[in-house]
Amino acid sequence: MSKEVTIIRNVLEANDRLADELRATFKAKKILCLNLMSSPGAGKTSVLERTLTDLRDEFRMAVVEGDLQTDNDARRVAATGAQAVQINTEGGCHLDSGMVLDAIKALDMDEVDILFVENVGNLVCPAEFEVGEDYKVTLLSVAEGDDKPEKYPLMFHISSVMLLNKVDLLPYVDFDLEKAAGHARKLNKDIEVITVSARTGENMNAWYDWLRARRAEKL
Amino acid sequence: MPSCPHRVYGVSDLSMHEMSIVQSILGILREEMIKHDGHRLKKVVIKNGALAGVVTESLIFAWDALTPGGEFDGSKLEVVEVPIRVACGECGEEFSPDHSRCMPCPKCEALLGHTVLQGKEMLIDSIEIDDE
Repeated sequence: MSKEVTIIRNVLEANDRLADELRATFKAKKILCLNLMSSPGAGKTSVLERTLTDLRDEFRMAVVEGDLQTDNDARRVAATGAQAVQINTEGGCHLDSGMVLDAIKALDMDEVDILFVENVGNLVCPAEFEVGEDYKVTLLSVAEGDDKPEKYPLMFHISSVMLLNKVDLLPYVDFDLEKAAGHARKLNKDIEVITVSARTGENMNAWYDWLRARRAEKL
Repeated sequence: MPSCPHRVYGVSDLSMHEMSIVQSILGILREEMIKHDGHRLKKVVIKNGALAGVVTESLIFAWDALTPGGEFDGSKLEVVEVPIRVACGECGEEFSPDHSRCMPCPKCEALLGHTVLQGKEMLIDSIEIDDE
């Protein structure tokens, strides 16, 4: 005899389940994982290059790079000596936990203190997909304009840090720092705003202090 | 060509996430078959919300790839797509947005803070089984 049975069981919030799996791995290995997001060209890779170089005696760091095409970024960060793995999404506009789960198989996770997941350059979709991170860090460069938090609210709403990059360009662009920070705080009263220049190294120490404090929490 | 210190993955190399979802579905089905004394699974009905981030075609593809030769060989996967419905975060108006990312309230135009009433589900709704 045949019968129909009502089940109603949540398969998963698919990605969240995989993200939890990643978090469990990172927790067990005491790895701080950061999801680095921004629009293309804001300087994620440049900030990483400098961070990986400046802190290489302090932390063992690894990078999962997400791009539509090319392994340019993985090459750039690997040149600092950090472990790096590139994901090509081949059109996909964001990384998800399944991709990161597979990508980290190429890394020696026992040799990592901080894992940076450099998301696909995009201020929209990556906001919706967790990748097992402890914190979301959104970069904004001053050349992009001070209205970006207002225009892409979800991204700033869910981020713990707004890393305001390229501040060496402030004299040349009409960027109102207070306005950008104000909008970001309106969306997320706890967001930390750190202004840096990956090019000149200006104020990178504030970012490093934040990293040190967050990494210490994982121990 | 210099040796590359890192590896490059294309998404096609990765287990796409619909594959992992189907694997989770199979796990749940095994439990349910035991619970309900099912001998053969004829059909499973999945509800796929528009906000769940799961592509129906990929789900069916993954099902067709993973089930042949196994205990659920020959069973049918039916996917019911569930549209988005939200309650406005400002005025409480319930509406079905046209787009999954930008959802202006038709009454007060608020963009943010809506509560999702439906559309996030990815669930097994029901199964049809032979129980003898």
